[in-house]
Amino acid sequence: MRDRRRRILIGTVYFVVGLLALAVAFLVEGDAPRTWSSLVDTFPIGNWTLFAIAYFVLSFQSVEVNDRMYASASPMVAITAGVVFVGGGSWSLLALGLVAATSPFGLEDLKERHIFLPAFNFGQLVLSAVAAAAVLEALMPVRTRYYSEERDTFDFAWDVIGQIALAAAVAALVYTVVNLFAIRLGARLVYGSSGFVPWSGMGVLFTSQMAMGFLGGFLGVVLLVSGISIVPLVLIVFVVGHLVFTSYAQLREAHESTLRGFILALEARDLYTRGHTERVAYFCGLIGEQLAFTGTQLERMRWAAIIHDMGKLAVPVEIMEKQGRLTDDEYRALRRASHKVDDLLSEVDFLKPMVQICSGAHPRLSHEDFGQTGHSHTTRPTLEQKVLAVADAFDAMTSTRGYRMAFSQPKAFSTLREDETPLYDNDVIEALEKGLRLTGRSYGPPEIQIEPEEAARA
Amino acid sequence: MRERRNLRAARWVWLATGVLVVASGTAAFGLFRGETGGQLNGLAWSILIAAAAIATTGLFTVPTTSGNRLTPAYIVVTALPLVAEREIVDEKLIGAIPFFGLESALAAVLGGLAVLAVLRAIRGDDAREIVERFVRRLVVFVAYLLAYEGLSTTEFLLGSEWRRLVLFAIAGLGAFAVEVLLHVTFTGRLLGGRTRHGVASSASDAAVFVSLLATGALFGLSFETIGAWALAVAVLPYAFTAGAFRRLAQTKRTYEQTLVALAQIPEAGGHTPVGHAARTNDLATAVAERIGVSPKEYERINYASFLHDIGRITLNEPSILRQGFTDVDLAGWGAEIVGETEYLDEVATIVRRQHEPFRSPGEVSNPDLPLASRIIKVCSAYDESIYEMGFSPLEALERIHRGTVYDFDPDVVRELREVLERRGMLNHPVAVTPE
Repeated sequence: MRDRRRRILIGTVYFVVGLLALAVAFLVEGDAPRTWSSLVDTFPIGNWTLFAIAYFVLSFQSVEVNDRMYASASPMVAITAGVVFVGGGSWSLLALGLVAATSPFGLEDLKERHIFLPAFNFGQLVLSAVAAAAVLEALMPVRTRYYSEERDTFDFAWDVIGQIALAAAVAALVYTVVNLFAIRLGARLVYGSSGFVPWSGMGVLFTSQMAMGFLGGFLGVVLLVSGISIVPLVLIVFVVGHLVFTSYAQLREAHESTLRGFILALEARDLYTRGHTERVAYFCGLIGEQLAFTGTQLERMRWAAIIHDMGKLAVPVEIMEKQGRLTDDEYRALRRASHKVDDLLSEVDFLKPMVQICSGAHPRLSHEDFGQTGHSHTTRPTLEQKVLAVADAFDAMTSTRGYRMAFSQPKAFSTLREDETPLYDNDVIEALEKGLRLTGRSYGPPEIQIEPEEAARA
Repeated sequence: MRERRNLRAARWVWLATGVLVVASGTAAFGLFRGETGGQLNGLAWSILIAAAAIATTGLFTVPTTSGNRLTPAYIVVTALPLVAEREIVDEKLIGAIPFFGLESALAAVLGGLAVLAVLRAIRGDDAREIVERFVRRLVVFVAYLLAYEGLSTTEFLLGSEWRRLVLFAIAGLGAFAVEVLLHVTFTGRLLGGRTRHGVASSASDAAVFVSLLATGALFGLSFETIGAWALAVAVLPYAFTAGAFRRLAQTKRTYEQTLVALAQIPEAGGHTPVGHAARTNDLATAVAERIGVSPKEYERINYASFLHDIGRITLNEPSILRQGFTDVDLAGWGAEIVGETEYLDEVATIVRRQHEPFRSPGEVSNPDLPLASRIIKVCSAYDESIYEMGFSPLEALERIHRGTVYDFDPDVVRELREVLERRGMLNHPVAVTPE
């Protein structure tokens, strides 16, 4: 209930801010009289319609360019529109603000009667657009330098074009920053601080947005001089790029879900290990966030967790029908088959580093029943191997297995700490403990005997 | 050793490229500032710059799904006529020398391609390939330029700005048709059932071609208004699109590698003969290519033939072994695993139905049995009779032939026979013993 009230409040505030920005845009800039009739007479309605449509369409068409990074061409459209409006003369702030104002009201939202999100987006987009237009208005060269009144044409010199492009890049940066902060602020106010993904690759984002801004500036100039016949060409290039990015994202997803399909086949019929892989991946993520891993590292941990048990998929024929305990030889055959799977997976260039993490994360191979199977574990484990080992062991301990009951969470932690294996690093264990405490979740059965915390840690 | 030499050669190529770019950039700057005197001097410069641009951009290729290499040199060639036109207008040469633009453009193309061939020879590319590329590029570029110049009579163009786009589209379409034809010819797929497959697969590069063309046109058109700044206008969208193509190709390769790795898991456990998945895939795709399936269908057959025995990994479950199972069960479990991936829905269907007979007694054929399932059934059975049962290739094919009454599709078996004969694989009289 409180959430709902808060959403209504935030939505209203953002909406009002958007309206205020439009009002300011109406009142501030230019020398034309700020009246309703002059607005109707001199508003650049043709260009506005064109840009509003392009912006509306493109703002829902973001593509996943990188891990967790989405890019959309709509800021570029906004900057292009800004250059054209400012170059064209009157009402530039208002026109650009209104271009941005249309986009939040998609059909889906209207049909579903969503109010919060459109109101929120209206506010932040209008604010970003008006800010960008103001920057353009301030930084672009004075209109007399490229517009001749008597001939009614635009003529751009080298340096003027450069200045316009630079102004456009700055405007794009301002647009992005305002946009990002408005969204982050809103998200924090509504959803609280937790549950917000750490944002990696800010540098890439700003660079790409500035490049888009540059491009927008040039396109604006070209549009001012030679009209809109160039637009289809730009659109073609972007649409093709967009389609290709879409199928790239689709293939990436397919890659992951194919591997998951194999894991499901592994876990489907085994009550005890069901969901093990998913949980290990989750724990790896928690630990990684606590240890301040980068986005790429987190991604790599996730993949390593997904494939860490794949070796179990290969069960040698001779063991298949065996009932009861396995002999040492049979264990060795089992190990060999599972190492063969690791070797197969490391044939995949992309998975090679992940397989390395996995193969170093099994603590007991070297000194128990299995003997050496061609993989040496004498080297010191890397941090990533430790993370995977801790996550794997923690989940194994807190879930029931065929041969023993599940440990409670504190008992699992203390058992991990007591273990001498260098893989169970204290910092990593602490990171997991802290991460779990922050999410407020707990794994394993509740503790039955109440023992003092000190005793458990000793 | 050879690799290291290639690496060193590659460094030289990069250096040469860098020098060329800097030199042409400087030249361009000087030219556009109007510091060079005389009309012919300017003309020579523009030809030189264009040639350098063709040579350098030709070194890079955009990864495409069909393996046909398309290069950014197409961008330069598309922009050439427009840039040349501007020169004519600026230097007031229009009318004085007819076909001025076309001739200079052709000179630039020829020079650029020649330099490109030399650069690629330094890089250590295959000689045959260099010649082949040279011919292909020359034909396609000249075709484009002729089509563009032929169509761009003044009466046609004077109408409006939009007509120019139509011009690009028509000339581009013609050039692409030539490109596809040449690709099919050079990859030796002009004759027989493989033509259809070759054309279809290289036609799937249309997206790459269109984006190259549009970038070139974008450059040319904006060059008229903003001069050399047009480079930025064209390069940025192109970088975006090229990045997309590169990532797609990379992910596709990763995905295929993963599927190949996963397909071998049953082999790691000793459930199927070692190499069974790869060999079945090899035969099935060759048969599919001969039959001339669409690129989409080809991809499905490619994936499905790798994964067709994947159901066997479920055999690690004791209860299944106790109950017993049939081939149909195995196929079903395999389809379940594959079907977890939405992208592979059709592949799952193919895997599920791989054991269905081609026709049942009293029927003409099993009407909705996918072609892919029929192909995989035949190829997998052939491989198993050799590597599991120990028959010689000829005996194995004979066994399959006998099965055409009900089990195997006679058409597929005929194509398989063709493939085997062409590869000379039926000449081994002795049985191949597994491992």
